[in-house]
Formats: sequence, C-alpha cells, structure tokens
Amino acid sequence: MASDDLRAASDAQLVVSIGRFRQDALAEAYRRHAGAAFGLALRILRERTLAEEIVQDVFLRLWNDPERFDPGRGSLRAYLLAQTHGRAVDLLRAEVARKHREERDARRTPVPADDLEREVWELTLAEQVRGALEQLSSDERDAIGLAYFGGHSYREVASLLGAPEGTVKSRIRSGLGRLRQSLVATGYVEDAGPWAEN
Amino acid sequence: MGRELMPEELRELLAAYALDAVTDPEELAALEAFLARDEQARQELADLRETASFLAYVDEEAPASLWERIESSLGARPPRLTLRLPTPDSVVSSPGRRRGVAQWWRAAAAVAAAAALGVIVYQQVEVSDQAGRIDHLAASVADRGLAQAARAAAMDSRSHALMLVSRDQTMRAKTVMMPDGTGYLMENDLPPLTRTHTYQMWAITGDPLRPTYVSLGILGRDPDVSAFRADGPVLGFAVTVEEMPGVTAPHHVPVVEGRFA
Repeated sequence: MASDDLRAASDAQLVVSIGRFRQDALAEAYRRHAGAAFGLALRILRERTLAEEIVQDVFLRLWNDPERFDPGRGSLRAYLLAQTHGRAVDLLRAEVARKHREERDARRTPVPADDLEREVWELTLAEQVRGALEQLSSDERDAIGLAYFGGHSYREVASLLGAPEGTVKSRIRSGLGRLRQSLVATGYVEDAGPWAEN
Repeated sequence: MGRELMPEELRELLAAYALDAVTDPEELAALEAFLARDEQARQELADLRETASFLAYVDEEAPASLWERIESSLGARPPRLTLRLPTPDSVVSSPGRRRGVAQWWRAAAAVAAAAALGVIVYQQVEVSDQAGRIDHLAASVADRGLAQAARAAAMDSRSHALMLVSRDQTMRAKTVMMPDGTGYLMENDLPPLTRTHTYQMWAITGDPLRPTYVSLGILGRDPDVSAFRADGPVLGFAVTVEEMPGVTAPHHVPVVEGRFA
C-alpha cells in the first residue's frame, strides 16, 4: 500500500500495515488519533509531560503488538482511547499523583451537580455528543464524569456522591447505555447493543 | 468480598469496568474470568468502551515533538532468520553411502520434512519463547542441504512451480512441488512477524468450491527456504499468520495463496 493510500485506508488496514513494520502507517494512525488520546490523558492527569508519556507508550504498544487490536470489537480510536484511559488512570492512582488527587478531592467534596455538568461539557466539542449527553440525567453524568475523568473507582464515586455503590453502578451502566442509544440515533455507532435498553 | 458473583452482578459491573472504575482485586479477577468465558460479555465490554471513547471527543492536538520521540523509539527492523535443517549426512544413517544426486535430494527432502515435524512437536511442548526456539534451531543446523534441495527441485523438469500471491499483489512466495509430494517454499517477501506469531503453510485440497486446508507445518516468523510434504491431490497452497505454536485449522485469511491451473 503506497503512502498516499494510507490516508484513505481503514483503521484495520492501517493496523495490518503497522504489523508489516510500515512506520508511515503508524504515523497515519498517530495523525488520526493522537490528538484525542493526548486530550484525554491531559484531562485526567492535568500534566502535559505525563500525558505525552502515556500517548507515547500507547502508540509504541500499537507498533509492538498490533495484533492486540481486533477490528471486530470496535474502532481503532476506541481501542487507543481505552489503552490511554487505563494507563492514565493507573498513573493517577499511583503514589506520585496522590497529592494532586487529594487536592482535587478536596475541591470536589461536596460536589455541586452543576459544576460537574460544566466540566464534562467542556470536553465535548462535538455538538452531537453534547446532545447525546443531554439525554443523561445529572446523576448519570456525575457518576460517569467522576469515574472516567476523575479516575475514581465506583466505590469512591459512591462515597463522593453519598450514594449506595449499587446505585452508582446502575447509573454508570444506564448512563452509558443511553449515551450509546443517542450515538446510534445520530449515526456515530452502528448498534445500540442488547444491554443498552436499560 | 468472599462470595462468588452472579452473572447479573458481573454484567452490572461491566460498565464500571469499561471506565477503569473497578479496583477491588476479587471483583477484577471475577470479571476477567467472566469475560474469558462469555463472548456476549466481551462484545458488551467492547461496545461500552466504544461509547466511552466519545466522551473523550476533544479538539486537542498532540505535540509534534511527541511523534518525533515515538518515531525515534521504533527501532530497526528485526534481522532475517533462516530456518536451516540438518543435512542428510548428519541425520540420515545408512549402511550404504552411495547415493546418486536424485537419491540425495530425496533424502534431504525427507529429512527436512521430518525435521519440520520435529520442530512442531518440540514447540508444542513448551509454550513460552517459541520464536526463540526456532531461532535456536536455525542457528544450530548446517545450511547446505535445504537450499540446494530446493534449487534442484526448481530445476527438475518434473516439478511444478506455483507462485502464491497476496490479494493486493504486494506479497509473493514461490513454491515448487515434485510429483511425490515433496516441495519447498522458496523466494518470498513475507515480512517478519512478532515473536508471538508464525507463518503456517497449508495444502488446499478437496472440493475446489469448498476446499479443505491441511497443515503442512509452521514456517517460523521469518521464513527463508522451507520444505514440506503434501500427500494426495493438491489444488494449491496458502500461507497464513497464526499464533505460536501453530493451529490445526486456519484462523485467518491467507496472506498469500495460489491454485494450480
């Protein structure tokens, strides 16, 4: 596949090319998805240096283990963002980030629902995604926001919100389900999935 | 936690797991075991992560210097490896050492096929570091027999050459097969694989419309010249990429394939 063709290649084709040691294919994957990965890592860690390290690690892993990406399971973007999120949250929870997190916890307790709503909205520049988030209740947005961007476990979220753990699990599940339904309705994803009906 | 979680409870946890919000070691172990045995749960997790990725839809640009650091860390392409097999003189013992050229070649082919089978059996014993074991075998064996046998077969008027080609025509592998079923994978431009994978060769047999793929052995992650033996009528050959130590039936679409006319 010529370098010019990589721009038009699907993510799956890109990963195949990466598996054949095509550095230009990795560069194209970086062009497409590094911004989102960096933005997510930066949002979670709030430090550019750490965010850059996370993104570097994620793309080097893609280079070294391209076969871990299964195009039948979802998009390359979702795969890279899941990798980014996991590593960023691990780092956030590590000893070196504990101090910053405690400061954020102090600011968040008690947490006005309006503040969290604005925080999540700041991150979603796409109008369609904002519209999908409007379908969620504030409880659902709070739970998802604290877990996804705050790096909190669902038990910590329950403690922060003063809600039962089971309730928080349900809010995260129902919130993601309704978010997916909205994304299906707007054509961003293909199928709502059997679990999204909740 | 103590007690075993029910499937409904595990499904309830999947969304939190997709957001990396499950930290209890027992819950994590239960979830991972659940995911390992439940395909629907794995798909649900993939859908949840896909959905979560839209939360990160931000207009942020990664620093240009970051790509330069990534690019400089990619490293050089791994060196090519040659899987070499014992020469007939070192492995095949026979009271009479008078062999004509044709007999020597057949002995080399038989040894190559037997050694390839031995490699497969050997690698099925140990799961770890399979690529390292092939490399070790390649380094420990003399290099005369196989390449010479392949060249002799290619020049033999009775042999049938078949070029295996990828769908996009970017990769090729030449095969040569003798009437008695012995054959060789020769010149190829298959790129080297990672240490966890291997090329595997297949004979295409049976109904041309619904063929059966019969394994002819694994080729290693960077094959040079490889020998095989195909018994019975063969419609063609194919090469797939599989996880070490190889599989009994193809798990993936062939990277190169060819059919006899």
